Amino acid sequence: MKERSFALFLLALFLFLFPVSLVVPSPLGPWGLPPLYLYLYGSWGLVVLLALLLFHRP
Amino acid sequence: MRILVVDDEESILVPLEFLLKKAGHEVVLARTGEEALEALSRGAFDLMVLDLMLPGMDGFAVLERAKALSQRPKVLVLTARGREADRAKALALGAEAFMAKPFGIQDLLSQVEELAGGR
Amino acid sequence: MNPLLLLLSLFLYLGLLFLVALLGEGRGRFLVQSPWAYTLSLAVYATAWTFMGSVGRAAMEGASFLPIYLGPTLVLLLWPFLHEKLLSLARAHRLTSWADFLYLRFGHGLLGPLAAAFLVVGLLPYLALQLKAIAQAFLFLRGEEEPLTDIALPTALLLALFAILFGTRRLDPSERHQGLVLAVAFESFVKLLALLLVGGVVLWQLGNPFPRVQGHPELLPLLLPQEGLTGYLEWASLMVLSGLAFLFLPRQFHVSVVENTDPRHLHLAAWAFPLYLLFINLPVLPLALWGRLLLPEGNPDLYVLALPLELGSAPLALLAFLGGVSAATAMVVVESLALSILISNHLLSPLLLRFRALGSLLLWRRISILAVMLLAYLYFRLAGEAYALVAMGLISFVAVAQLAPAGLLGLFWKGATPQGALAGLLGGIVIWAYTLFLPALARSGWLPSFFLEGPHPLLSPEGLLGIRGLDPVTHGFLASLTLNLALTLGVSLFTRREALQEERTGEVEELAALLRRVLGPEAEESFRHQARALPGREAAGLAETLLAGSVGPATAKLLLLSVTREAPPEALREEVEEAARESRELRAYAQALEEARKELAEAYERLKALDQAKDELLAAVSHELKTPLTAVRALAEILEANPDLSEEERGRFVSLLAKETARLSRLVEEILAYTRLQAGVPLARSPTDLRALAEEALALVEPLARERGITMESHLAGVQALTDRDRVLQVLLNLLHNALRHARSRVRLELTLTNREALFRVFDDGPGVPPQARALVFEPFQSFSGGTGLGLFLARRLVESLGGRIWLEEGEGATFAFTLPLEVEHEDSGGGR
Repeated sequence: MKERSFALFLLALFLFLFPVSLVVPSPLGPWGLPPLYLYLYGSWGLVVLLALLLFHRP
Repeated sequence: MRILVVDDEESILVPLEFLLKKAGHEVVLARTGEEALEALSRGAFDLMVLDLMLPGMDGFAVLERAKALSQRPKVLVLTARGREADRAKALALGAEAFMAKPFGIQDLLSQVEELAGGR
Repeated sequence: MNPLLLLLSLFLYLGLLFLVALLGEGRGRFLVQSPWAYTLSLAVYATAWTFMGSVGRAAMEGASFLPIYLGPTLVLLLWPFLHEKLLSLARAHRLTSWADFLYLRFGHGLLGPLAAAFLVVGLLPYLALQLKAIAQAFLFLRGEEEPLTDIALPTALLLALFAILFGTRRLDPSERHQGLVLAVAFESFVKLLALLLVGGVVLWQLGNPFPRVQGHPELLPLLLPQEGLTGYLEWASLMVLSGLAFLFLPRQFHVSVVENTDPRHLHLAAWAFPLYLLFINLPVLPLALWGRLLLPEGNPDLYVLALPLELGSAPLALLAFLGGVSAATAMVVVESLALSILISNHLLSPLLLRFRALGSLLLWRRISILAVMLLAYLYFRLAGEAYALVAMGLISFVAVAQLAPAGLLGLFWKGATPQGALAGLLGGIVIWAYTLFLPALARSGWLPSFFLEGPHPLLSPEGLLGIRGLDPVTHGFLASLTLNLALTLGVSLFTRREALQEERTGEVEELAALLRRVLGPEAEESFRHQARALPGREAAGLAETLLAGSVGPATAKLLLLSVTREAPPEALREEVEEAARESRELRAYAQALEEARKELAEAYERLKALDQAKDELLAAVSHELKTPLTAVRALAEILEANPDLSEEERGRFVSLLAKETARLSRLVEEILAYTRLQAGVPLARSPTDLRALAEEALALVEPLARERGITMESHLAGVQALTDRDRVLQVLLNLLHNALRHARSRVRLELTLTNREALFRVFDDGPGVPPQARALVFEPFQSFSGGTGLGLFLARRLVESLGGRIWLEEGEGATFAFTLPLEVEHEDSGGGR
């Protein structure tokens, strides 16, 4: 459990600290929505989902 | 022989009377110690069959008194109390024989004959 | 909007919160203990900052509003390392704050008070921002431009009152406030709902803002990540900063550690709380964009209120107002409560102890809350105008983060020393004050601008060592924390760890009396209960823990000094304890041996008595059997040997045989009855006509009476009783047989009713019982007249089992009398002894 939570932490850290500016070219992207926020909320949601799967079972 | 049978139980006296009479002896019955002594004073007996457990005066007292008489009879002590102490005491007081209840009638008759033979 | 409406709805909502709090303390307690309540209570992290300030920040600075929520997400992922450990520490040592932990871990007398005092000062901006948010909102909705200060003071006082009502109703050594937790959880739910509703309605009515942004290029930077290295540093710093703040904020420690009822709740909170944060941040960007688009001149911090009004929906604006106020209230209540505990434990307790005023802890807590709110108001007056909401909050975040090096290193590194922790904390405080706190005051004009520029370019408060381009918060955070960490590590490496503090030991009685004096009789009870089986040292430790929960660890130690003495040193103590334990064991063993021996002797005596009784019984029984057996045998043999007996003689013998056989079976019956009595067969109660029963008994003994020539008389009253029929019959038969055996000519049976009893009397005119035998007449095996020896004894046992009495009357002949209660009330199926 501890190792997995630390691994998830590292993953989240990487996702959140990712220098998105290197990848995101423009303020608006798919569906007219800003890709920065899509990425941020998306990865945030992913982390939450992984946490749910990891912590809720035991 | 003239035999005096002393016992407070009807159901003992009746068969004993029958048996002894059938054997040809003269039988007188007494139900208490007082009756027994009275009977002894009225006449002489050759043998007294005595139960130790009597109401009122107990069997040992009767035995003593009987043995104090001039014409003392031989005494056969019959009792349900089968303790050694009773046996010893009875014999010490002068009883000639001691039999414990229950007894077979044949044993009784042979014992009586033995005692009768002593005369 | 009508100000009265605003105030009324405000009060109604606060009243509702209060009711929820009461529910949590009463019947709703089970709600409080659910993991969802715990998770929602963590959301006290989201304050008016989140509700209103985030939109403001997003509208001006873009995505930098978001990392504040990513930090806690990251930290919560590490809960097995952090929260779980804190929970077990807190449980074991009754920690109520980080200051308690620092004192526990480092033991330095200065750390606790310093941390407590610093936290109070450092949180003033955060508290002030709540005041500002509420005041701003109220004024905005009211539609006037009155100076904020007029509203802020009543707001401060009202919030203080609320905090006092919620948090200081009684003094609980565990510092649990279940009602408060439920209210906070409820409030978190309300604010989430409110913000989502506002965002939803605005989007629904106005539509998607993003296509519009194309036409407003000045808005595009809001949608892009931060520029350059400084932007990235800011992003990263805010994340780390908020993560640390989530861990070290007093109110967060309070709801996540102190108020925790079950460590397993963490399993749910670890993902559900980040999910909450995600949801509450969803409407922020759209609202910010619409605000900029429609209300470019307005105060961005008020967009959440302004947009509903712009849409013409006053109820929605009211809802937004309530949501913001709710968020601010929860923060203030919990934070000021946590601060009051800090103040009372670390700052006031030592003073109170000196002046012997510890009894009024609750009062001092309330005064602390009021003082803190007034100070927050003061800060608001001094520095609140110049800053946006979020900026104010961030200053507090950096302050709180100063506890992190000492706290985290203390948790995970054994090498951290008290001196290191103290040095780091002091250094961090200095830098924080210099780079953030004082410049804020200077910016508002209350301090000379010297504090904005510093004595030297290299020492510029917002650009130490020549670093430029960073925003003040990032700069202050990095500078203070770097120095803090460096000092903590460095000084720790150069100082040796002190030996563990000597332990103390004491008597349970004195410790209990101390607890009673300081904490009250309930605490004393609880302590006595727990300390029952503890040796002196551990009892002292327990007392210290209990005290520390309410007065702080330092004061607890001081209090304990008076009632404890030094415990002997470690090595010797072990030997002494070992020897004591051995001698205890030996004595216990010897005692057990002696008891076993006594028991054995008693059992042996009992067994001998029983054996003797059994022998006596056997002797008596066999004796009694002999006579009738003799007769039966003799009669049967005669009958067999003499077939030619006369009818009369034969008849006589046969009837004698029958009589003796009956006697035998009666004897066996009595023996069986005796054993049954011994075994305790229960009574069978039924309504019995005693007269009829007596007549039956008479009829049964009539043959025997006739044979002996005894006259039977009777005088029977009509008596009914609730009793065991068979047993009564047995008694009557025993007495009648006994009478018939001894009677000369007459036997009389009487049945009368006296009081509540039936009285039977059996009289025979026999010789009676001789004086020396009178006492023993009812004892077993005392037959002196040819009976069974058991008859009267059995009669006595039976009568007593039926609840009656049996006795021998004085007078001529023999009169045996016994009573029966009309109802058998007290059963004793074994009879008396």
